[in-house]
Amino acid sequence: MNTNAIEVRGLEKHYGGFSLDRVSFTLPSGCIMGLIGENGAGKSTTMRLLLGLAGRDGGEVRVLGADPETAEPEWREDLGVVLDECPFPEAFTARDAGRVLAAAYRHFEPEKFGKMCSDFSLGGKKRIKDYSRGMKMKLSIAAALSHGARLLLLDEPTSGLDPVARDELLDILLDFIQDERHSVLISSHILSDLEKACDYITFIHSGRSIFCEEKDALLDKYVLAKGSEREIAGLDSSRVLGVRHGQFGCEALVERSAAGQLVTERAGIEDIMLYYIKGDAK
Amino acid sequence: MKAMLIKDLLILKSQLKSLLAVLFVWLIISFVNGSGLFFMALTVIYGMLLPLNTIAADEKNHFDRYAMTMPVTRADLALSHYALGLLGIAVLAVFGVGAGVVIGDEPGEAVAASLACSCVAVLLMSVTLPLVYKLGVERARIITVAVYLVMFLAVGFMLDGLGIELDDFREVFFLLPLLSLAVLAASAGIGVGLYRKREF
Repeated sequence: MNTNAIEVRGLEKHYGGFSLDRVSFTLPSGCIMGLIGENGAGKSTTMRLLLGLAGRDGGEVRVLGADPETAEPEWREDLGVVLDECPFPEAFTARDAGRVLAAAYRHFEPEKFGKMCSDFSLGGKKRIKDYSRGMKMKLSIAAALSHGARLLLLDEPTSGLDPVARDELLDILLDFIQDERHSVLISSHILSDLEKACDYITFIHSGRSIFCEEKDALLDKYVLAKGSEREIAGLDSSRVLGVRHGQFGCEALVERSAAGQLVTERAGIEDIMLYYIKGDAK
Repeated sequence: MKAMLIKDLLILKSQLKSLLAVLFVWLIISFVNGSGLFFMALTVIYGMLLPLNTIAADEKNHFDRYAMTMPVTRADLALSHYALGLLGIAVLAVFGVGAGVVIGDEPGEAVAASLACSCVAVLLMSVTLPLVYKLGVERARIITVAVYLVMFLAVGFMLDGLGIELDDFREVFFLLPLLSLAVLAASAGIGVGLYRKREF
């Protein structure tokens, strides 16, 4: 049995003004991976390639042991997908969406779907066109979780959700991976959410995967070091990710072991991403 | 394909009131004229337009992209629109014949007229759907109208040039369904091919 839910090696996709350039990462089964990066970094393109929605120009991809471009349609029974917008027609009610899902998936669980819709207050005769963005996203999430999927691929599922609903979603994901055969790949701009739930973080910047690391190891590896211009300049530059110059001193994202005697504080995922992106400032 | 057809029928269900209102207006016009032909022709053409309504709804929400994350093949997705169109044409053709007979048309003539109109509707759908798959509903709309015009003018000029009257076709009327089916098969093949190459 394959112990990795997703294996990506040297993935390439070239468009007119954008290229996904040799992106690589591995998601072990039973884990949640966060895909982070700024707008246009290539997160959604990566998701599309993992789903076989577009053809890759290079590299290898294995999702649940199959190549998405050649996998049989039955392979998608095991995928739960949330894309960046609610895909169901605006004239639909949640019940209509359930009817389509029941016809599409062999293992669709109508009771589970109904309960989630009820918990999310999506029942009744209200049509999707009258839903808020958060409600649309909740419907997509209910659809993804209602047919016995082993792998969830979620593209910005927390956008538009209020903090309570976001927290509920994270609880659902944590509950989902209690089964060690289950895995989740989630992209989000709300990095605090990912920090709470993810086991691994993959950072894509300008079409390239900058790192794919265990979250705890990543958070342990870096600290924010504060000091004067001279003190920061004295750090080993090969171990400094980025520097911010302020009115009263400098702050650098640096490997913990290289911070020396400088005052340090914990670096979050957001700090690490921002310092990488603005790393030219160092 | 079943899931895609259910999705399409649920979309059409939401448009049922306006669909029935249009049919009712056409029915009144046919009653006033005392001939069911007008109603029969328009209803089957309306049948072939039904997939365009559902494709437009899909495009708005990128449902086709989502459908490709479901256990559905690209061929299923492409062919489901043809299936819906054929279903719409068939149902509305039966409805049209019934209305024609009630209005006073001779049943045999009504069936023949409805069959001829249905074949033309299938031909138009066969031209339209690959264009829509390639260009999307909005962009294909104008081009499709232009293609229809060119088709009708070309046939008209050809018949005029050859001195052939429409009545002359009675002898070879049986060829029309065969021609429609052949064009439909070719169109469906092209449609599936376009979907296979498509990136979502």
